[in-house]
Amino acid sequence: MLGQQLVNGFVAGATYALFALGFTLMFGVLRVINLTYGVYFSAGAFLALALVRNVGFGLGLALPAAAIATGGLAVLIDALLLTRLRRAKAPELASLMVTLGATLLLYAVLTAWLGTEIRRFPPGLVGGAVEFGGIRISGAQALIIVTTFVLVAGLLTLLRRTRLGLAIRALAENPEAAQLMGVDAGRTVAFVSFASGALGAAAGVLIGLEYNAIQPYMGEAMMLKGFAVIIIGGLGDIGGALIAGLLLGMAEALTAGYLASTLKDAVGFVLLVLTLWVRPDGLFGRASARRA
Amino acid sequence: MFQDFLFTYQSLIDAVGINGLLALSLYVVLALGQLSLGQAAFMGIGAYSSALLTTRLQLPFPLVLLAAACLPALAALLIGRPTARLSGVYLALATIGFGEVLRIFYVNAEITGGALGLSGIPERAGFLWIYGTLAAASAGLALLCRTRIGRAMEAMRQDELAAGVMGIDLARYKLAALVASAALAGLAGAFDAHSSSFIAPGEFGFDAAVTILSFALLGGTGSPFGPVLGAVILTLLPELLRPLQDFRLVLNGLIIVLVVLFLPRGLLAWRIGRVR
Amino acid sequence: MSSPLLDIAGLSRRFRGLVAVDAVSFAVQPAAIHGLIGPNGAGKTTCFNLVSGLVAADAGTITLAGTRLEPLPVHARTRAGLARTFQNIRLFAEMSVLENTLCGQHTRRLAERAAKAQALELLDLVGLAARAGERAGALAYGDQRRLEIARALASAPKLLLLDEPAAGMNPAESEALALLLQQLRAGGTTLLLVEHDMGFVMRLCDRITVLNFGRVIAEGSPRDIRADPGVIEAYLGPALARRLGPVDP
Repeated sequence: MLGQQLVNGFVAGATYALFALGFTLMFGVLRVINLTYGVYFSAGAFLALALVRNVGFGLGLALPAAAIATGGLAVLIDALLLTRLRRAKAPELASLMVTLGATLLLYAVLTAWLGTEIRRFPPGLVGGAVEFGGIRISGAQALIIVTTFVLVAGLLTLLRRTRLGLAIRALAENPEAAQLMGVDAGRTVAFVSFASGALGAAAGVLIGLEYNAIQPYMGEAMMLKGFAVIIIGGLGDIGGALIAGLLLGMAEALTAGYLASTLKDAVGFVLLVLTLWVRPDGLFGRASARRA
Repeated sequence: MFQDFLFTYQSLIDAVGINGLLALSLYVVLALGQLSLGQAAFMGIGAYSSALLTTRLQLPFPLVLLAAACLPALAALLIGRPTARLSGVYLALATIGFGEVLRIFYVNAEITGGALGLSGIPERAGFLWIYGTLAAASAGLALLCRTRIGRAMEAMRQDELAAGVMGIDLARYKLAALVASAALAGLAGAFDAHSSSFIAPGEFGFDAAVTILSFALLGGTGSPFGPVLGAVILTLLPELLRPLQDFRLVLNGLIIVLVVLFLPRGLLAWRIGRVR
Repeated sequence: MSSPLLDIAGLSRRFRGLVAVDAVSFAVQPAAIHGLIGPNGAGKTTCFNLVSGLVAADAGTITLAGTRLEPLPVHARTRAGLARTFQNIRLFAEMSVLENTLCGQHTRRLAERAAKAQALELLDLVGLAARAGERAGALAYGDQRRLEIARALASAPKLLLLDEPAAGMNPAESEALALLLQQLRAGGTTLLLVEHDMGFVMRLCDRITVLNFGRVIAEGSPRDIRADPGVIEAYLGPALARRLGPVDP
């Protein structure tokens, strides 16, 4: 029983981590609090659903396709909303506010267009299961775990080992200097937007699959969990987001199993507040995130 | 004549006043350059606690109001203490999270009536209470802006680092602002409960928090009167233009986007308390 | 020698791999103008940031008029009698000249009328009284620098830290600034300044501390510093040293 709980929690945690990843990338690199991120989550899920139901794609095609399309959406929204602010060197809170407004707008539009009833992926989309020692890991769950780790590894490799990654990190440290060194800020920023949108979408598809529920506001519910994961892991730290995500997933599963399922959603926030009280930098956060 | 007018449009007039108070509560925090999205949550605490105190304990209204102001203030201390030393982003995120958790609590707890909320709250808050409080709070804040404290707040808003070097105790100011804003929002919540007789968790969530932000941004945050103006406009607009009702959220979202991008000072762009 | 106003002992700070300030010690006498010079990257501004509290020290003590500053947060150090200006001017651009100065008085809790009167006096001292109502951001560069000084003086500090106050000024302006600083010294304010304009420093300072690579490499009167071989090698260069000449104001 405990083992199964932990496995379920681990899987949920992996999706939290995946979700938090894109957000961390945006904030850690671009110093932008982009609240429309939750919309990418919902959009990705709906896109994949449409591709599966209406076009007949398998998940193996639908997931990447939805991710790429949503990545494009993210670049567009970033260009519309945030480029102006970035150029005017507006404070962080300005980007938070403008994306807040855009979020409201986009969710309302999504709801108006798609309605509020819960949709599902067709059953048996990812089949198979593995059983051992009384613990069952479904095909979907296995897919989630593998995808998350592959994407995290991929992202870390990109950032640490490639020139693009170097450009991204340089831009994060010191935008002016980076540009003087020849880093094309516009293109690099667009890439980061794309990547984070794609990651959010992927997380949306996978969570929609795991919990078998897709509705327009699902992204909003995830945002709180995302915040908790990012702050606990440390703002801007990718490895931290992964670990914090997994921890949160497992903590929630244990709470639901042994305390009360209604308290599950509160776990994230309690941990968030604890982190802010005790260790505001989070598990691995950079001290620079703390400048008051 | 005026009596008739008041009666017919009572709920709208009350709503305008209450929203004005909420916008004012956000102003206190925005005036320092901080962003708190917890106004709706603090309002909820004020609404639920006042409703319960009146219906279960039959306490006199002034006492109920006191509680409605103090309890959210206490909550603000809890969130504010650690976040006051951190960057403004942390406060914004913490207050969003705080609001969500409270909403979950209201929906699930028995004492708050769950998803159906509380009803049958006696009507105690009329025109005088609401607008009297609004006027007093506005006047108080307007006066404050002309003092040393008001200047310190403006300094923090423009350049926090330099403000600290001037000797301004940043953490203390931020915390005080958050606590004051929570008290105001709590009062607004109590008024809401005791004028519409009915409260439900949905009124105090994320959507409400963002709506309040749109009031403040539209009106402009140079003076306390800006957010109040924004509240008046955005509360009356959907009433005057019936079809807009359904699109209230879209409208609020759009306003926030447009104002931040194109009209960062809002409608009332002048800054109060200029010293010549 | 009377007891120093500012006493720095063993001050150190490293940033990850880089040792920015390495066991720096020096003392500033009351009512003196003390110069802190050195090549770029020597740790001068970091020292200022350590003293004013914007950066936390890894080790060492900072004592101002008998009060230990290290445990105090930034705003408390201002209350203790410290004030500073910034290398990249940090005025409250949207506020007026007068309001900026009033902000500087924050720690003194004066009544409005007295506050305004004193602020105008300060502005008069730096020559900006006529512009009291103008927006600070609209001022010319030299005027902005002077406003920053007025604002710093508004807290009636015991010690004023000036970070490159003459930067970007033409000879006439820096002459006027030098006169102002001498006036302040005569009035009892102690000044610690970071500057690159060597003529300015040599004329004005009573005592100079030289930093290089985060360490103190020399300290003494302007005459001693001019002649110090280590300083010449690291910073002044033989040509300038010769030009600054042997001795005398």
